[in-house]
Amino acid sequence: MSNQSIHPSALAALQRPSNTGDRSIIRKLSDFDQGVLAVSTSHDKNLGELTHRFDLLCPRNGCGSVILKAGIGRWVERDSVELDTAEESLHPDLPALPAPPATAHWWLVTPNMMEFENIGFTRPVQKDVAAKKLKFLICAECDLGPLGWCEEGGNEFWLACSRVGYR
Amino acid sequence: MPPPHYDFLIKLLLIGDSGVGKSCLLLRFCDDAWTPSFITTIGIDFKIRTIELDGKRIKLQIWDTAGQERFRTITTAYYRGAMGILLVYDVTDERSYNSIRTWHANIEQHASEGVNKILIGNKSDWTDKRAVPEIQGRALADELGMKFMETSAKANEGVEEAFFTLARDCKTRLIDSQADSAASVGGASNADGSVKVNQPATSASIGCCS
Repeated sequence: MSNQSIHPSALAALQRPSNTGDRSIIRKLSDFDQGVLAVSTSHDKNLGELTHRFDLLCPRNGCGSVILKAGIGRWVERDSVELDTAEESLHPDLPALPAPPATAHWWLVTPNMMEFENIGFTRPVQKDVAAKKLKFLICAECDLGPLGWCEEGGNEFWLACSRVGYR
Repeated sequence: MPPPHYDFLIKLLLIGDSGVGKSCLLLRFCDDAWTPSFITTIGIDFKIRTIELDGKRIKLQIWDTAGQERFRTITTAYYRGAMGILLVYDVTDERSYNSIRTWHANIEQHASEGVNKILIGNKSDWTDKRAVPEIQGRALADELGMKFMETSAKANEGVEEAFFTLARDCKTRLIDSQADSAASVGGASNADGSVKVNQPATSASIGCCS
């Protein structure tokens, strides 16, 4: 039963990276003059809400893994979250987030993780005793992160608008 | 609720000794030097990858054993709902090859019956350090009734093919069991209830794993 043949065209399709476009050109939020406004549009169903009009990508140059298709995440401004540790220097493709309680811009993904095209979850981390455990969201194809977070067992997934690429 | 934007959800597990490169199998850039240290410290729970297979959109949820393998006691919870298992050894490390029987016994004990399995000999690019010949890997796979493949996560060879092969086996089995189930009880759920096709996305989510 070993070595069944694999349909060549299907295999070729799988071996392509999730992003088959030019991975060297990934636009960051900082590349847009108007910031979030430039990358958002009214939600199809709920016109009062803003969603992203671009696919969201891993921001790492040369990766650009497709994280979320356009029109799925909902724009929310809310408290920032400490995603990074002081000991670790940030990857150049990841801008620092404001320190809480300042707010940050997020793409909120609901109602479950299957909305994502490609994403990775770290093991849960207890930031402080009183808080719920958090899992960090990372690129599924290159592990760049944290790009966002979710609570352990939660059904809300938060991607930092400044830590994803747009195409 | 909009219709789901995928046809299948398949849970896969990576199992094998520490250091055989399981985590690397999930990466497209394992040769890149940059590995964020926070990942090394915290560890990765699982990843979601979306692939197209025979015109179907398939979500793979791929779990890494995340260090539990050191204790050789992978919990039953880890196996729950798993439809496919990649058993991984390192072709430069005979001990990891010898462990495969133990892992296989563990799977037989805990995983659901009929789970699709594939044996992976990783690090096939390390020709000068090879300790386990390909033929030996294939013989073990035949004996245990599994498919076999050698991969090089570093050179990105055979990796997608491994996931693809396993995903296709799972899909085939799920379609078959669904056909059986639909014929017998008129429902759409398969025998172990672990995947739903064309069900609302909420019911297809795996509740306990975020």
